[in-house]
Amino acid sequence: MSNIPKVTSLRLTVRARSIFTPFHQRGGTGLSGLLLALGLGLIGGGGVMLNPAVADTPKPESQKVDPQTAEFFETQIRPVLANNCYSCHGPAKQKAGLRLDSPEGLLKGSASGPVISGHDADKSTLVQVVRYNGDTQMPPAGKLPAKDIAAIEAWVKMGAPWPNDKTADGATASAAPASAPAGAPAGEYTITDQQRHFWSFVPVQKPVLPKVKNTAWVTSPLDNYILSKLEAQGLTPSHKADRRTLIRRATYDLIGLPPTPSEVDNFVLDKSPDAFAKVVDRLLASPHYGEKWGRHWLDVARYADSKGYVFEEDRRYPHAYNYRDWVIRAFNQDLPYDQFITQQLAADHLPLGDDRRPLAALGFLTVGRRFLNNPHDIIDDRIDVTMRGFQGLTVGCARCHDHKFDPIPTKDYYSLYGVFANSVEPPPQPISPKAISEPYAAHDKKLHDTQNERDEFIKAQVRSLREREQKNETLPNDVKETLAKFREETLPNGEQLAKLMPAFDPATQEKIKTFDQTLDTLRKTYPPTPELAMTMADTTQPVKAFVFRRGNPANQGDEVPRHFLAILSKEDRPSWTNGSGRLELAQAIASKDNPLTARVMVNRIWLQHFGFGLVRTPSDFGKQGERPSHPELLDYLAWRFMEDSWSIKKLHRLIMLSSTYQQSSDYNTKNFQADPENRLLWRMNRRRLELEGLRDSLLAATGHLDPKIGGPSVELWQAPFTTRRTVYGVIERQNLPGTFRTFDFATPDSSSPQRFRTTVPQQALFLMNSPFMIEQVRSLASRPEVIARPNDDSRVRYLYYLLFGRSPDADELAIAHHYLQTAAAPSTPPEPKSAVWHYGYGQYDATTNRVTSFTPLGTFKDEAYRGGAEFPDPNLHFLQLTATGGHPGIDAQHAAIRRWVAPQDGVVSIKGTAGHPETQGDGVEARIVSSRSGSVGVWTVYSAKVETNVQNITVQKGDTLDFVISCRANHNFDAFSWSNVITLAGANTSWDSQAQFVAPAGAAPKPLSAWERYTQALLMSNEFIFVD
Amino acid sequence: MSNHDQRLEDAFLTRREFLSRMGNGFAMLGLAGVLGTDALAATGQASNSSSNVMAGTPSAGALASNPLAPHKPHFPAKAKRVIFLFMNGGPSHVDTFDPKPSLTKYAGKALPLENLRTERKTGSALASPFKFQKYGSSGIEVSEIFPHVATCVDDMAIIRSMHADVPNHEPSLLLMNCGESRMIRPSMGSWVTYGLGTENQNLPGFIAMCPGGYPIQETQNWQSGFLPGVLAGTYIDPRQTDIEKIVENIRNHYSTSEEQRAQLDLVQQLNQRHLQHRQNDAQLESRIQSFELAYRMQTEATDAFDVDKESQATKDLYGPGVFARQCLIARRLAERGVRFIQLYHGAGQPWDSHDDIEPNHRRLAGECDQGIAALLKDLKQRGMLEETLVIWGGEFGRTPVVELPTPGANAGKQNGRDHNHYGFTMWMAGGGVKAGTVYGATDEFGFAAQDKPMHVHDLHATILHLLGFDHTKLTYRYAGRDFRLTDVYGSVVKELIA
Repeated sequence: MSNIPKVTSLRLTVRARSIFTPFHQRGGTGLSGLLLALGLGLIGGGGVMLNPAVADTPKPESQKVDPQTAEFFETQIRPVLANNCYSCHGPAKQKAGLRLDSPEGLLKGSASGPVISGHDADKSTLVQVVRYNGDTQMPPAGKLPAKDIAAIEAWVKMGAPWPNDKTADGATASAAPASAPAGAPAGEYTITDQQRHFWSFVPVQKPVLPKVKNTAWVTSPLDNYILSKLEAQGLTPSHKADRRTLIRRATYDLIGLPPTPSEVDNFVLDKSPDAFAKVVDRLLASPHYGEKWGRHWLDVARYADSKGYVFEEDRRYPHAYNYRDWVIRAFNQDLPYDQFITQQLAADHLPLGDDRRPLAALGFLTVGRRFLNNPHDIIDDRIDVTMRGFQGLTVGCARCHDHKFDPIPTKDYYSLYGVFANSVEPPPQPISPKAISEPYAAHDKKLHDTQNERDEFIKAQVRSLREREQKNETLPNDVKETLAKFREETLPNGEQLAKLMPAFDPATQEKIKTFDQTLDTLRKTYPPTPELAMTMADTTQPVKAFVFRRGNPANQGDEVPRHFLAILSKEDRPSWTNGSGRLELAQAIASKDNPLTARVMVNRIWLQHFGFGLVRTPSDFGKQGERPSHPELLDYLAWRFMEDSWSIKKLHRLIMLSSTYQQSSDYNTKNFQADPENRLLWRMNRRRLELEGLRDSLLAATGHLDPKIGGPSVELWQAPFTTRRTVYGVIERQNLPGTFRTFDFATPDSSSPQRFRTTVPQQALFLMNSPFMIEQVRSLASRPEVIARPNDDSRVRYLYYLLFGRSPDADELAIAHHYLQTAAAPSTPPEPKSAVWHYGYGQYDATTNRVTSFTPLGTFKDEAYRGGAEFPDPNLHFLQLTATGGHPGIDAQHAAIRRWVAPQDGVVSIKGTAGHPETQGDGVEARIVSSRSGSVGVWTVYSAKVETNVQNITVQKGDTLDFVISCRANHNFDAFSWSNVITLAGANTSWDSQAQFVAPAGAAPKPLSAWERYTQALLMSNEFIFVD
Repeated sequence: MSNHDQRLEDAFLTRREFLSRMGNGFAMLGLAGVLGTDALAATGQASNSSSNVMAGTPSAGALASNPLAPHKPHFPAKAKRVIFLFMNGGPSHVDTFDPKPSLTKYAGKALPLENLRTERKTGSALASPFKFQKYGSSGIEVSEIFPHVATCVDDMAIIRSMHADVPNHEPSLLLMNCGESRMIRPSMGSWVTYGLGTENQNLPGFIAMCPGGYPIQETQNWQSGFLPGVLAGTYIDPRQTDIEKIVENIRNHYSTSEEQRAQLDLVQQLNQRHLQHRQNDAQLESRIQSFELAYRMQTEATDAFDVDKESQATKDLYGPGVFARQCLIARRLAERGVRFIQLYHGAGQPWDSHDDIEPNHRRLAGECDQGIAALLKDLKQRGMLEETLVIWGGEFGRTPVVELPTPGANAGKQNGRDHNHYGFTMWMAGGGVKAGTVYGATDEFGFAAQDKPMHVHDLHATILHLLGFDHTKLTYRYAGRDFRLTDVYGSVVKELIA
């Protein structure tokens, strides 16, 4: 045993594993999975990694193994075999009749005999082949690292012990799941009765309506459940909220926008008994309802418009928005929740008529992060979003080992893995009606066919041309040269073709011209483009799924059928046979027999109405999750939800028409002391507007909110600011803009059960200083309805009415009056700093060796200094300067000049790079000219990058250094890049032309007036952002 | 400890639970939570011990209002903050801090052991083109390309036995920064800020600087994952001198400071009236205070990034260049109580010298050497080094053998090194690390960690320990699991602790 690598601690094994396993074969969670198991004393996994064959025919070699040996085997032998041998000597293939994934296989040996010779390493074929000494060398891809060979030798010398995966001996002893009782069939994962009776796995049944004393308070069955608990604690519910509060609450709740003043008034004046029900029904019918509630679901669906990190490919999901629009439409149409589920998981399996839009629902699965296209991680993300999203179960925990708390064996994870492994993404599919998609497809086909026909025709012509050349026929020189420029059987490019044309006969020339004209016409006459969606389809040949031991795809365990989780299935669990099984998965979830589906969804709805779920872990209904505060109420709602044919709108109505929902959010000492968290719902919870509510309310206040529903995503935070609702903003999941993070937007990296509610100064800064906010402030302050009012008092009254749905009291008017009086005193704006960089055009004069004219470029547009608003400019053409470069004018008098004015005396040096990306034209001339010493450097830049470094230029304060770019003989194709850093010798001071590129100081914003500042104050107030 | 208190889904509600347990007036705590005064930290501590909640776990309530309020760690510790100098791209250890004379002996010949598999094909031994020399009273050898840093070796603990999992940039960057190569997990800076909050509420608690753009994996390197977004690193391009491009919305262009003050007074007057009718609501009070913080942040943040305020002597100490500039900014931020500051060498992967190792590494070291040494000396002379943990290193090291030409990659050159995750060097200084020591070793040629191998997880465990955390107990419940920076791995290396 002296040669066995010492395995004395976890420390060493960790190192050994991570250093010596070939990295490229270590896919999935191999390493973490393995070490996870080791680190935790091999918790879990035991149940699934068993090979029944082992159990039936135990061999001497596979019996008792001490823990150290077992650990040695698991860390240094099994991974080596799995990574290097299983692909040919494993479950799929048994080359030479050899299997190395079980002790039996090892013992049986290959077609040519045993591979292990007792304890003698030298005589064992296995060792001989990995040593690469003889004729047979394994693995064929390359010799194993010396350490691995040494480990195999040591192992063989030990007698090639193979830890029996299921005995209670050795390292895997603690691997037996806690849930497997003694006497259970070996290797079978057993769910205990206790687990089956866990509250969330018990079927939903209509619970008994509790009796209450204060029956007058009850307006809905759900009030019974709330009130009975309150009464049991000796608490009383709060009084009903006043009507202004109620309509503001309901409107924000259902459409995410404030009520208009007239809506408030109408409701306040409506004396009919069903006044509030009418409000709720009106809001539920609003198309903005889907925008609010769709967004809640998009949090769960980890919606984004990009893939996440990519190396080079395009990271956008240009069609993702069609999923977002489908979600909004589904809510607006009150698509029954069971169909909502089925379409998102398996719309491709459903009989769709001409309305193909449900296909976009599959975005639920496809808009996730792409993990650099690692298929296992993509599937894991899809399992997670499906199972936490619809079922509130953390199935992802079972990827590497059996779930430690919930009855979810690893096998069940891989059953679902099999479903998604057999689901592939076709190219984006058209979802527009046939009237649009068919003509488009026909046109598209025609264009492609014509293109192919033309290309083939040209290839044939070129072929015969080459044949003529071979036969030594005289061809013009430039034709010969051109033929040498592209490979045989490839197409000449446009320029090349033009040169070849004269060599063709006139009929051929004519035919090519006709082709090109036809193609040109086809390209110009495309019919309307159909909308596309990111869909899914099943593989044609389903592949089998295997357990990946410890999550490592290189370490395959037993085959598993595709079927649902055991805990959510009847004893007799059918395997899914319809393609990938996605439709069957969807049906198993969207079933009234599923104990979780309705409970999880009604809890999500409740959460958004009250701020907290009845279960406060909305995506974890397992043992680690919280128990419901009102289990009977949850069941009642779930039952009603299914009774009401899975109608979400009916559920809103049920909740909102209850006395519970309509309570005031006021403080009450007695109740508060008994239940400070308001778990028993003795009042309504006060809630702060989320990012969407805040931004949309600001836009609504100005009257400019765009009511348009749906469409491609738009940038939210770049000026000019869009007035679309926030739900339509581009979500770039890799580099999410700061404002999203500042305001607790749900992370789009994985399914988000609930948002954080932080209070940080960055939120205040946004409201105080952001250009978006200032734009809304100015817009609101100058709304025609405001301007039209005769005096401050009436203007203030209007703002209160508009923003808070109420009139200001006398004190508030006095405060406003006082503020507007004192704040109106004119202030002196701060002195603008003198700029270092200036942007203009002019001329370098060779005779005087100076820049003799410099005219500033007066317009700043699209991040560039230009001659005027129009571009190209009628006089200056493409002349412009940007942060990184620009374009010169059309002659030497119109060189583009970036001017640096020395802010102090000293000696400076310049480090820079000029570039000219075009291959056409003749490039540009770059020159640096000092006002003190003339030209200090000149470079010709053509289709290349050139360093423009200059050392030791003496300057005095006020001197200029001009970075002059002029055209050469040809003034086309002259776009250039040129960045320079000027460093002052002996001081840690430098000026960076790119980093310091800013809009002109002259564009300094107009200061806010006192009235505007007052308007902004109201928009910053707590009353504006909190909903009582 | 009670996991209950850290659950994402109810993080924001336990604040009330916590407050009610404390029996304190809400107004006081509401204020403390936002101001991040010691009051909250102290009461948080008391609450933790009284309710058997692990000390140092930020109260969930704090997460609800302001997750950046300061918290005490699990046990007293010297390090209060971290400055991580990230040499992205993978600096070669055998050319910097891990001298291997045997490479010279074998130069141009095959090593007597087999080359370990790395990203690309490698060939014979490549001797370091740089001379090593002993420095300081510790006599630790450092390469000639780090002459300034070398003068600080007596303050440094050099770990020569680091190892990671794979020889590729993307997973290795994520492993070093987030403790996990592929899945989305919070970064170390987010974990530390989650655990400790930050000392200055007028600045972000976690700042990541990278001149000219992002490193590979971009903002994922400082992501907050499932922790609140405000715990993510705030990215700054240190080339910028315009404060607005550093901290969003920090400058008020539309009114004078006095006008804005008067305006905020009006807001607060309105808010106080609003509050009168809505007693005991901590979220209302927190928001009131957040405006005061924001107002002060405008001046403090501007000041923090204004390196022109430094004396000429200090500017001279740091020297020219953007790396020096970000070192100086880092010191100013550390001084102001920012909890975690990470500096990347540059956009992309600058240290990735697959070829021309001699000129490239000489240039790269030259860009950062003086600034790093200046940072260490400056912190020391200000008495801050003891409580500032400075970390230097990349996502992996480089092979001791030459990288063979790959079509389209090396331009046929054979004078560079491939990625090497089997063994590499990092060093730490200050913050309670054992100064003037070398820990662990690679093999004779520097290919793989051999003596006392230290995995990235061990480094994380040790860093958290230096900050006062038991790395197995700084956890966060998400999706049914208690996550931690070190996942299920990591051992604290006590030998690195003074």
